[in-house]
Amino acid sequence: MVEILKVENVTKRFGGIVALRQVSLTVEEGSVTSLIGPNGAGKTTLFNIINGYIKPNEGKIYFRKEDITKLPPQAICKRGIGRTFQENRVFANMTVLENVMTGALLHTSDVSEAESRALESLKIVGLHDKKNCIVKNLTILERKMVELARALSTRPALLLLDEIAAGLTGAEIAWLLELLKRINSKLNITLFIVEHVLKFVMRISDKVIVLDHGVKIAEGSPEEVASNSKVIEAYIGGEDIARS
Amino acid sequence: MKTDLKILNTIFSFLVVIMDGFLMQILLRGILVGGIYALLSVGLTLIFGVLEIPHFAYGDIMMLAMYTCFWLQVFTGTPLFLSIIIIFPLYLALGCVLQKTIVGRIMDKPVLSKMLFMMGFSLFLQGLALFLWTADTRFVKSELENMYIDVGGGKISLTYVVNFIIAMIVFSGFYIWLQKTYMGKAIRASAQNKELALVSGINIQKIFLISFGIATAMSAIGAVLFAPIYYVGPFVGIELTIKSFMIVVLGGLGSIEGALLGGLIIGVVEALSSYILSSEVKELSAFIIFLLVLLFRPKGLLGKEVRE
Amino acid sequence: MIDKNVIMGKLNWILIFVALIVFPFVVQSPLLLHLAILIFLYIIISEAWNLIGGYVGQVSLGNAVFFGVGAYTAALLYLKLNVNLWIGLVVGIVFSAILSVIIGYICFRLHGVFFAFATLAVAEVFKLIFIIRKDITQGPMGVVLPYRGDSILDVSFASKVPYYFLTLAFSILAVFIVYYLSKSKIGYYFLAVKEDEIAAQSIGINTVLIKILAFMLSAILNSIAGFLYVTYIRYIDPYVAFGLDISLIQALLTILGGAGTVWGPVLGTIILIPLLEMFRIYFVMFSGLNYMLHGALLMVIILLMPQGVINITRRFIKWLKS
Repeated sequence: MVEILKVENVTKRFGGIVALRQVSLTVEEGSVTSLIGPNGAGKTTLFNIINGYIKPNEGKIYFRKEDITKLPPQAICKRGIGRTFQENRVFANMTVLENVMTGALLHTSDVSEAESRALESLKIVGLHDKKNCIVKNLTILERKMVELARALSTRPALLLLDEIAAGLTGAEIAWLLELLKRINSKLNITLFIVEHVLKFVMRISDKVIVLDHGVKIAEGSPEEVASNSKVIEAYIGGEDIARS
Repeated sequence: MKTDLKILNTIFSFLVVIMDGFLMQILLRGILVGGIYALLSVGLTLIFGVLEIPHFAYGDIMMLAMYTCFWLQVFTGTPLFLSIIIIFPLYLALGCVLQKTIVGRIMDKPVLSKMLFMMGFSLFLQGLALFLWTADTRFVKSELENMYIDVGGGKISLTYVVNFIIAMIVFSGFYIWLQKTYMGKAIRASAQNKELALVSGINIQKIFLISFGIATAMSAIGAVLFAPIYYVGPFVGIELTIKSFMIVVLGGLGSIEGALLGGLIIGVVEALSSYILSSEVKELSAFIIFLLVLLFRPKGLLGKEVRE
Repeated sequence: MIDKNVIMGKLNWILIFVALIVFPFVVQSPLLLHLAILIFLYIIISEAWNLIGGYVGQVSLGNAVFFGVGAYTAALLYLKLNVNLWIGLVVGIVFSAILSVIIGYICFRLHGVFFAFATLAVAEVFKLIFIIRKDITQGPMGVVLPYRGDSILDVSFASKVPYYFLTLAFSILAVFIVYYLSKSKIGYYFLAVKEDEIAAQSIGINTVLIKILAFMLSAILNSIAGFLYVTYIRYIDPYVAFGLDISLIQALLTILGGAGTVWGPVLGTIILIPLLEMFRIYFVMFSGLNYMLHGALLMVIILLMPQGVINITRRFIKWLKS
C-alpha cells in the first residue's frame, strides 16, 4: 500500500511538558486510520502539527513524500489535507451554503461554480435542503456536517477528523459511520480519525494507532489493539475496549 | 601640562556630579510620577482581568474624579487629601452603579462590541464634561505647591513626594486587600478562571460589581493625586485611558505587580524624554515603546496570559 | 413578470442617479450642497472602514493615518514642489497603499483590542511626527491651500458644484468597490476570516493576505478622501488629519448603518452626518452635545441594534412593497 502521510520522530514540547515524544506513524492511502488514546495523550497536538498550526521541535511530516513540516495551514490545505475541528469551527453567522462555498472557492474563482460544487458536497452529507439556514441555528450533528461538507469541498486527498463523533447519539453515530465509509470508498478520500468513542473506531478503522502521554504504545488492526495489554492498561478507568 | 590635566579633571568630575544630580532629579521625579501612574492604572488591569472588558471610558471616569476634586476645592476649599476621603466612597458607589446599569448589559457580547460600547460611553462622558464645564483647562492646587525638597542638583516639589507616598500606601492597601480578604481572593480566583470560581460557589455577579467599583475608586484616587501635577479638562480622559492601557499592557494584563512596574517604567521614560526633548517627543517615545511591547511581548513583562 | 420587476428595479436606480446629477443645479442653498459633499466624503471613509472592520472584522482605530497621508501628500507636494494636485492624489494613494502593507503586516499579528490599540498608537505616532517636524509639515499650524482662481488642474473652484460632482464620483466608486467585492470570492474570504481565522486557514485561505488586502483598499479609499478633504476645505493640520475623530467616525457610521453590508455605511452616513453638522453649526453654544450624541448613539446601537439600522430599513422596505 502507498503511504499518503508519514509522521517521522515528531517531538513537541510546551514549556516543560513533553506533549509528543518521538512519535512515528504512517497512514496508507485509501485507508481509514484511527488515532486513539486517553485524554492528554497528544492526539489533537499531533493533528495540529500535521495541519501546520504548530511546528514540532523535532521530526518531520511527509505528505505524499513531500516534506510539509514547515508549511502554513493554508498551504497544507492546498496540497490536499482537509480538517475538521474538535470545537466545530463553522462560520456560525453564515448560511450552510455560504460555509461550504468558502471551501469550494479554493479551486475556483467563480462564485456560481463554487455554489454548484458546494451543493454537491451538501448532498453527500445530506444537508441540501437546509442550505439557506444560518448555521448557528442548527443541531450539533448538522453543524458537524457543515464542517465536513466544507472540508470536502476543498477536495482533499486526506481528511483529518478530530473527534467528529463526540456528543452524538448512538443512532447518529451509526449514520455517521456509514457516511464516512461512503466518503472513504466512493470518493477515495483517506480518513485519519482522532476519536474517543471506541465503538466507532473499532467498526470503521483499517488500522488503529494508540498514543499515551505523547508516546505511541500500540499499532495494528482494531482486534490486535483491543487485546493489547498496554492499551488496556492505559485506559484503566475508561472504556472497556474488549467489549466493544 | 600637569595643571591643564588637573583642571580638565576637576571640570570633568564637576560636570559628572552636576549631570548626575540632574539625572538623579529626573529619575526621581519619574519614579514618583510612576508610582502615581501605578495607582491610576491598577484598576484597569483588574477590570480587564475580571470582567474582560476593554474599558475605554476608564480615563473619562478619572476625568470626572478630577473635576469633582476641582469643584470641591473651589466651592468648599477642601484640601486635596481630605477630598480623597470623600472621593473614595463616592466613586466606589459610582463604579458599582455604572456596572449594574450600564456596563453589566454588555457582559455577554463579543469583545469588539464591548470595546465599541465603552468607546461610545467615553465619547458621551467627554461631551458631558464639555457641555457642563466648557473646554477651559482648570488646575487643581496642591497645598504643598510651594514646598520643595533638594535632590542632587535640583528641587522637587513636595507635592510629587507626598502624592507618591499616598499613592503607594493606597496601592499597597489594595494589594493586601486582594491577597488577604475573602472578597479579594474571590476576585483573584475569578480573574484566573471564571468557570472554576462559579463552581466554587462564588457569586460572580457580585464579584463583577465589587471589582468594577473598587477599580473605579482606585483610579479616582489616582486621578486626584495626579491632578495637581497635570491639568483638568474634558479631554484628559482619552490621554489617561491610553496611558493606563499602555502601562497595563507593558506590565502584563491582569497583573497587579505589572501595573506597578509598568507605571514606574512609563514614569521614568517620560521624565527622561521630557528633559531632553519636547512634550510631543515625550509622547511619541511612549507610543513607540508601547507599539514595540505590543508587537514583541504582548503578554507584557509580568503578564499571565494573553487574552484576544 | 420577472422582466417588469427587473426594469422597475433598474428604473429606481436611474431615477436616483438622475436626481443626484440634477440636485446641485436645482438646489441653490450652499449649506445643502456642503452637506451633500460631506455626506459623499464620509461615505468614502465609512465604506473604507466597512471593508476592514465590517467585512474582515478587524477593528482599526487608525485609518486616519491614510486619510492624513492622502491629504498631506497632495498638499505638500503642491505647495513645496509645485506638483500638480492630481498627481499628488495618485502619489498619496501609492504611499498609503505601501504604508498599509507595512502597518498591516506588523499589526495583524495582534487581534481584537490589541490590534485596535496598535492602530490607534500608529495614528498617534503619525500625528506627533507631523507636529514635531515643522520644517516639512508646518507643524500644528497646518497647511493652507490657497485659492488661486478657478482651475480644474489646481482642483480649485469658487462654486461648490464641481466639488459636489468630484466627491459624488468617488463615493460611487467606493460603494461600487464594496459591492463588487461582496459578490466575489474575496468577499466570501473576508467574511470567513472575520468568523474564524483558524477555520479559514484550514480551507486554504491565506488570512494575513486577506487582511492586508482589505486594509490596503481601506487605506486607498481613506487616502482619496483625504485628498478630497484638503482640496475642498483648503486646510489640513495634524489634529484633523490623523486624529481619533476621523478614525472613530468611520467606524461609528458603518456600525450605525450596518457593518458588513454594502449599503449600511451609506445609510449610517445619510442619517448621522447632517445631524452632526447641523449640531456643529447651529448649536455651538451647546458644544459637547454632539459628542454626547455620538457616544449615546454608539452605545444604543451596540446594545439594541448591533446589526445596524439597515436590517430595520430592509424590513420596512419589504413591508412597503407588500
